[in-house]
Amino acid sequence: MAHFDQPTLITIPAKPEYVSVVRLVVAAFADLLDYNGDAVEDIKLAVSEACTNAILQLHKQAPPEKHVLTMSAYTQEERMLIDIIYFVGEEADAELASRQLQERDLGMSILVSMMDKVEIARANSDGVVIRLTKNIPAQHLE
Amino acid sequence: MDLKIESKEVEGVGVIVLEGEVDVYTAPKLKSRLIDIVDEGKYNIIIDLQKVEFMDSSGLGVLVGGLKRVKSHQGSILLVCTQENILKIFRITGLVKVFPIFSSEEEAIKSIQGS
Repeated sequence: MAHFDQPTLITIPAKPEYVSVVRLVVAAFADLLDYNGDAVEDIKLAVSEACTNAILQLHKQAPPEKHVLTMSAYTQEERMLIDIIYFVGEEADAELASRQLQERDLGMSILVSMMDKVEIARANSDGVVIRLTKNIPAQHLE
Repeated sequence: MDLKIESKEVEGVGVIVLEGEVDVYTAPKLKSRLIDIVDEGKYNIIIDLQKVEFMDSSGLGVLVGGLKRVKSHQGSILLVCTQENILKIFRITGLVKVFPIFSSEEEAIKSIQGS
């Protein structure tokens, strides 16, 4: 399998109209890894949910025009990792991001079903990272 | 990809046909259209998802909100969908038990007329 450990990055304004752009980029990246069509759809859906969560959290905290979010997609061993990173402009509260995701029941159900692992953590002092992990199918690891 | 929303009336039933993507950006347009249709007095509504290419929880949330609205008038929302990638999110979230899902508009209309 080709290695893509150098991250592919895209930064967008944290606004709803840009989420479709991130979906396009992550789908293209997943294609490089030979995921099948269903898996690519799952990854797009999970990324959409994570970006939506980030945008909703940012819109609660401050005027949305000031914020951006970054998606970083890369491989690590036999996994594809996707980080959704955003900065809240004050002391980051990863728990708030996590709580909001729990409150969005439908979004959370979809996210955990589509990915092999979902983690939410602080990034630096004022950032949050939602990390999505998808295992690469065994037949592509040769 | 934007969301196209076409609404029509078929044999007295309100039908909404969606085409495109339903996400955090486009879901408010669907919500607004659903509210308009309910305000027009149509409480049995069919939503045709056959041309929907992508839907996430933002879209599901609007459908659930619409269902609450029509149920308060003893109405219902029926879906038309045969696409596996869209059906999958209804299964994952358990909403297959909440929304009757049909493979064509005709079947959905017959179901409403027979109830």
